[in-house]
This record gives sequence, structure tokens and C-alpha cells, in this order.
Amino acid sequence: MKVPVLHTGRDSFWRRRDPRVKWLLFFLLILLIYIAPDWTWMGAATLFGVLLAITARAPLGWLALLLLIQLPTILALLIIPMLGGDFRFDDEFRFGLRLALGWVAAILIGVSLFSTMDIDEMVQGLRGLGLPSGFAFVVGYAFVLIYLSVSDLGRVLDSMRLKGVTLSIRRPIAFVGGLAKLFIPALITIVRRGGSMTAALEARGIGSGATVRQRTRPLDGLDVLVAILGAACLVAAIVFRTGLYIG
Amino acid sequence: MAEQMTDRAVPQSSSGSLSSSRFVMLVGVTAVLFFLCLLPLEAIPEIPVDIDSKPFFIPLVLTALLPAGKPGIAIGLGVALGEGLRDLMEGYELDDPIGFIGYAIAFPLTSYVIAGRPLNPLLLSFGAIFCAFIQAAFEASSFLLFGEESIAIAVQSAIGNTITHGIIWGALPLVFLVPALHGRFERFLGFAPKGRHTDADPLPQPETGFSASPDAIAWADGLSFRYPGRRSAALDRLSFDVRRGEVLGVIGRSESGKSTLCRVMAGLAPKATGGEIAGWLETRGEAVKIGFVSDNPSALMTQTRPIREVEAALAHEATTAEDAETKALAALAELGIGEADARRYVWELPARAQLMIALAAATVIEPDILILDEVAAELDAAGLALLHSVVDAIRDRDGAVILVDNDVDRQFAWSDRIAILDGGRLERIDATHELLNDDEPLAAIGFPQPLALAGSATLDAEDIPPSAPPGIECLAMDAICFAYEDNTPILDGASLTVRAGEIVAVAGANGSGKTSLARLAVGLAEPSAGQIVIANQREGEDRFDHVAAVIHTPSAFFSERSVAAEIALPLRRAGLAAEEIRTRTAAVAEALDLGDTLEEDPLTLANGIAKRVQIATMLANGAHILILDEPAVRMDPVERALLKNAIRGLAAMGTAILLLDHDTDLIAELADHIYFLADGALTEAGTPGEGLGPANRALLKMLDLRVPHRFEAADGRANRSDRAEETSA
Repeated sequence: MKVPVLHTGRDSFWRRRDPRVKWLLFFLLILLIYIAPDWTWMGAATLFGVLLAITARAPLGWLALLLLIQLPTILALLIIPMLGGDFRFDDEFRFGLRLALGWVAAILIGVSLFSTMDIDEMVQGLRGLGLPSGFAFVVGYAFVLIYLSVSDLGRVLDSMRLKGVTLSIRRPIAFVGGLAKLFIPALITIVRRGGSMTAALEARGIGSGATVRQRTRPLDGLDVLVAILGAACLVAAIVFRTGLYIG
Repeated sequence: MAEQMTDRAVPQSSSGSLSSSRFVMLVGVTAVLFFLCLLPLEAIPEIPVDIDSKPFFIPLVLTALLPAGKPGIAIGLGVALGEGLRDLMEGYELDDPIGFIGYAIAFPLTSYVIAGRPLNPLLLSFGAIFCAFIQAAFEASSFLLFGEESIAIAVQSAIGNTITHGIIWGALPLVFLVPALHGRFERFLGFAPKGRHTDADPLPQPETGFSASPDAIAWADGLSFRYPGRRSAALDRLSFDVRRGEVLGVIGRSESGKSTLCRVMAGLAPKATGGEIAGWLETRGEAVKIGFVSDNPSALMTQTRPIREVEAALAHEATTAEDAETKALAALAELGIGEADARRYVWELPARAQLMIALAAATVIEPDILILDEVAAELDAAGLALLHSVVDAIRDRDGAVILVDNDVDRQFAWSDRIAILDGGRLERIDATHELLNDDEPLAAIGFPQPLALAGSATLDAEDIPPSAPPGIECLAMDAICFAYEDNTPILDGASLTVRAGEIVAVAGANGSGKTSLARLAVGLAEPSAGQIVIANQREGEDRFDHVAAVIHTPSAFFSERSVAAEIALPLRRAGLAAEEIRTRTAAVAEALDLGDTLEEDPLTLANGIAKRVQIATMLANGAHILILDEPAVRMDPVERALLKNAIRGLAAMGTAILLLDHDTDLIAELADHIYFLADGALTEAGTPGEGLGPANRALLKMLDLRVPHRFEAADGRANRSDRAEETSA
């Protein structure tokens, strides 16, 4: 079965970094987007996002589609300040620009970093950062449930087709009726699977707090450097935002 | 001995309490449902700024129908996780950080508003809008992190999302879905449906005084169990022991309590299922390890990769990470899973491999008791041989195996003692030979004697009566080729024909391509080469009008509230008049002996009846070809006999039937002609007597199939007779 994940498996500088560092960088850069004092910082974050996408060999078609989905919001943030009359590069426009660039940067950074980690690495990374093991476990468990549920959904769709229930957007009313017919067995199938999986969780001792042992390799010099640079950027943004910089 | 026994506290639990595993499961299920519905809604463009479409009706259905409190918290966390999973695929959005907190607060609060109150559309609508408003307000406040200039954007986003999530994607679908789902799914999550059977009598008091054997590892004394929302007990005062070095077989009809007994013995019920328990379950010594494998292999996967699944089972053992990995790889290798497959994702592996992974996870801890709940029925000959070796290994090291399996021939061959369950009660437990030699206890539950003991009543290969003389050619598949998306070949030049009134069987091992063949025949997939011809199909006409298929389990099939509505659904979709629908529904229900169940909810039916409802639904529109993919899996002998009668009846009426299975017993009992499916090719093998007889034992072994019990038994009697003649000579 084809798995719909962002992970590309392409070799790159970012692919070789430790998953803990990639998660840490993601959290730091997302914080930076909220803390950055003005649009120039956000422009720099966007530029970094573009470089990250290129160097991580992120799926460009995927990125383009996501940016297209967000296009109405991004355009609105830039156009609404102009509706009042003459265009001026004033505070209102600068604020819209800051939000729009932040939006683009968040997507570029998130997609690029996640495209370099497979599911196991994501879960290991979360565990390695010291997040509660239960949280990391639930993330991994949700992925297992998603992929098994997708195959369940395939079976439900087959069954509905055999019963003459088809989903064609050419007939909108029949489409909505078909969705309702599809929804009930889909929900029940997934819920049933969840119930059975609870038994498996208990059988593996999850209910009594057992966790899989973690094998982590030590961070290398480049991992440490990336983490330090990410933290330095965030600290710099805090300094500028809070007015502590007096240069 | 009594002083050596260790009391194992049987936990009292009600359906309202939520163990940590059920909490995790509810978070996961909510996340997955929300995520899977969220993805298609992403195609709807956002309204500037950031007013989007989110399927609030999913968590709201769960919130409305499950109790308040912990379940509400789990639902809120699940929705936040579902949104987070979307972010991992589609990138992060600026309103997410406080939006996550909004989910975790809005749904628990809403559960207190609508749970515990009568379900009415006004309350549900209010709950949906209330929930959406709280979440939207939190989510919009993310914009305020950018400074006070963003207040206008935050207000616009909050109002817009309250309307879209609360009304369009909340209240409107909710008022239709809640009545359609009430009472139908709650039990799978371990909850009683709202307002149902709250007045059930207390569980019966245990009758104490059971004396366990000195060899016993574990024993039950007056053990009773009831699922949430049910009036009757699934287990009713059971007293028995499980002894060292034995295989304890358990047989009984559907719903007799076999699986419940397994769950209780494994310590999973009521922790994982909810419900109430009474009586005593005791073990000798404190560290009795129990392994459990059930019949749904993919549902036993909790980790992303096989090696991690087996390592997780070792989490309580005092081993290093490296030792755990070595042990896990060895356990998997013993069951035919090599290192390369051990490191793949579990969902990339076929069902048999998943079952073997579950078996490896259960055996790697070297359990004192291994519980196998209808596992054998899923396996072909190669899988059965592996399972048998596992069972023997545990018996040899003085452990015990509880083998739930309704194949009396296998029980006769594998088990030392057998317990018969009926209606939750233990009817009899005895040594295998004594119990199976006695007609009475098996006949009482409608089971046959093992063929090895059945004497002259057994049919030999030549005795199988042919069905009606074959008529016109209804289905012809010619030189069919088919491959998966990744170009793995499945079928390579496969050809077969099925005539009216004929039952043609395709026998193939697990993973040989039977389901792919069925999907091609019915038109759910298209071949890359070759031709499929259906009699009477006109140009442009849908193949579903002529070919009926039962391919998947009933749980993926039913959408209607009653059996009658389920059978009528394809007829309604085809636009038939109400009178015609009634007539056809009644006729097909009668043909399949479903007259008494027409008003029942198909989701509550036992497996055998559910399969017949599936067949009825598929045949109601007048299809003249029926395709059955492993139709008798997990059926008891009584259900199996009813199904066989129904199939024979349909063939006698002229329906062309294609049966695909690894169950050579079923094929031997039903088919007129058989084909073998292996390496993508179909090979014609004549009648069952010719193709599946003991003379073909070597070929069958190569195909991972086995000689049917009836031919084996006939062969055994012939050999015994030959030996007797030789001796007397």
C-alpha cells in the first residue's frame, strides 16, 4: 500500500541530521515567527525556508499546492490594507506583510523539515527531546491506526460500490447522500479497529506504562551547530522584540 | 496447595471508567477520524482570512454519545492530535499553537454540556455552536501574538469559524448522524449506549469451592463477565483450570463466550473492553506470563515496524535494547519474517505476516500460557505448520496453550482437553478423546464429530454429489494479467470459466492473489491485459448489475439500520418501485433463510448471519454470478452448514458461483471444479476428489494447501483397513 507521507527519503544535509535536532529547530523557528519584531525578520525566515526547501530537497509540487491553498489568505493580508485608497508602505501594510511572510515561512520550514524524517524518526525525535513517552507513543500509534484505517476505508468504498453507492460530484445531492452512506460503515469500522487495538495495547503492557527502549546515537558536531544557530536566532529575535538591543 | 495459590485480584470495573489503554485508543481513534475527514475538506478554499472547513461533526458525534469526563478530554486531545498530524503533512499554520489548546478545552467542556442529557436536535445544535465558538476564540487568539494590530483579524476569524465549524460542519450533520449512530458503535469502545439497559441485574454471585488440579497454572472459580450496556452475562460462573504441558481446546457456537473468556484470561477484559466482572481468576505463582493472539492480525499492531512490535512486548523484561532487538529478530525469524521484512512498516506486509508478527510478540516473552483466539482458521497449510510448532514448543517446556478453534478435527489432533461453551456457560470440559468420542455434547451445540472418528458416515472423495448440470458460460476470464501500483505482479495470464449452476473454486494460499482475482471479476479493478466476459452484459452496462460479490468482512459493508433496508439499498439506488423492492427483498431473504432477521440491526448480527445478509444484498438486484472470497472464515460449524446450504441452493437455482479460499475443507464440500492459484497462474485441477485427494499431497504441500479432513480421514480408514487385511493375511 502506498503511504501518503511527506518523507521523501532523498539524501541531503538535513536528511542526515538527528531527528531530535530537526524537531528542536522546528519548534525554535516556529517560536521565532511569533516573536520576530517586524516584516524584515519574517522575510529572512521566508528566505531561510526557501533555502531549507532547496537543500532538504523537499517535494516542490507538494509545497506549491500548499501555498496555493493558502493563497487567498496571503493575498487578503496584503490587499486588505490597500483597500482604503492610495497604497502606502505604512504600518498597516507592514503588518499584513509580516503575517503573510510568516504564513509562507511556517509552511516552508514545516514541510521541508518533515520531508526529511520518516514516521519512526519523528517518534524517536519526540521521545529523544524528553517529551512524555505517552505522547510520543500516541503519535506513532495514530500513524499505525491511520494507515490501517486507510485500507479499511478502501474496503468500505469497495462495498459501497458493490451496493451501487458511488460518489460522483456531477450529481451533488447524490454525492452528499453517498457520503452519508459511506460515513457510517467507515466510522464503525475504524471504531471497531480501535477497540481491538486497545486489547493489543493491554496485551503489550502499554496500560501499565511499558515503553519501547530508546536507542539514540550521540549528536555530531553539525547537529550541535544547527541547534545552536537555531537557538541563537530565537534569542536575537527576543532581544530585538523586547527592546533589549541598544546598538 | 491452596496456600501456594496467589489471588489475582479481579478488577471491578464499570463502563464509565476509562483505563489508560482505552484513553490512548480514544485519543487515537478521534485523531484518525478527524484527520481522515479533514483531508478532503482541505480542498475547499479558505475564506480570507483563515476561515476554513473542519469536520467538527466527527468529534461532536463521539462527544454526544459517550459519557462526559475522561472521554471528553480524550476526544479533545484526539482532535488536537488529528490537526497536528495534518500539520505534519501539509505544513504548519499561524493559528495552530493556541488552536491546539482550544480543542483540548472546547470538547471536554462541550461533553459536560451535552452528555448525560436527552439527545435532542436543539441541545445538539447548541453544543456544536458552543464548542466551535470556544475553539475558534482560542485559535483566533494566536494572531494576537503578533501584536494588538491583529485584533480585527482575530475577531473576523473567530466569528467566521464559529459559523463554519459550529453550524455548517457541526450542527447540521450532527442532528442527522447522532440518531443514525446511537447504540451502534459505543460498545466497540467499551461504553454502554446512552440510556440502554441501565437496570440490568447484578452479576450472579460466584459459586466457590472449585478444586484446581495440582498441575494447574491458572484457574477460574465462578467467573462471570458482562459487557457494558448488555443485560445478559457473556460468561456465566465458569470454573475450570489450565494445566502445565497441555493444550486446552475451547469450542462453542458464535457468541458462546469463547473470545470473552480469552480476553478475561489475558487480563484484557474489563480493562480494554469496559464491563463488569465477578468471581475469581487465580494463578500459581506471581509471575505467570500470558501471551495473547486474536483473529484480527492488523488490529494487534501497535508499533510502526515489526521489530518494534516484538521489542515492545519485551518492555517489562530485564533486557538491554540490543538484547531486545536480537531476541525480537530471532522470534520473527522463527516465524518466517526475515530481517528485511522486520524493518519494514507493518502495513506494507500481508495479513499472514501481520499475524506471525503478533504471534512472535506473544511468544518472545516465553509465556506460561499462550492464548490463541481463532488464529488457525486464518492460516494456510504453511502458516498452520508454523503455528503447530509454536504450540508444541510451549507444551514441551511445560507451558499451556488455550486454543480457541471451531475446527473439531484440528482440536482432535492438537488438544489434550476440550472445553465446550454454550451461552456463556461451561457445558463440559474433558479429555479430548473422551469428549469427542461422545456424540452427545457436540450434537447439543450442533457440531459434527471429528471426521477421523465419524466412521462410515463420512463421505469419501467419490461420494460428493455433483450440483445441477452446468448451463451457459456466465463468467469467462481469459489470460488476465494484473499487478499492484508498485508493479509487483499478482496475476500473469490467468484464465477460468464459470457456468450457470456451477460452483467453481480457486484454491490458493494466503497472499496468492485470490482477492485480486475477485476484485477483477466483479469490476472493482481492471486487468492490465486479458479479457473478462460476462454473459448478458450489454455495451456500457455496469458489471455490478450482473456480478454479486462478497469480498470483505461485514463490518465494512453495512450502512443501514435494518437488514430489510440493507437488502433494499441497491434496489432503491437502481430506482425500482417500492412494491418491487418489497417483493424482491422478501424473495431473497427467504432463499437465504433470513426471514426472522429482517428488522434487526445488521451490525449486531453474528458473523454467519451477517455473511448471508451480505449475499442477499448483493443478489437482490438479480445478479446471476456470485463471487465469494473466504466466505466461511470465523464461522462455527452450524453457521458454516447454513452457509453451505445457501450456496448449494443458489447454484441449484442457476447462479454461477466462484469461490476463492485456502480452506480446502469448504472447497471439497462445495465445488464442482477447482483451480489452483499460485505464482500468478491458474491451473485447472478437475473435481475436488481429483485435485485435493491424498494422491496430490506433495503438490498441495508445495502450494501451501492441505488435504481436506474428509479425504484425510477416508485415506486413514483405507490405510487402517489395508493394514488390518495385511495383518490378518
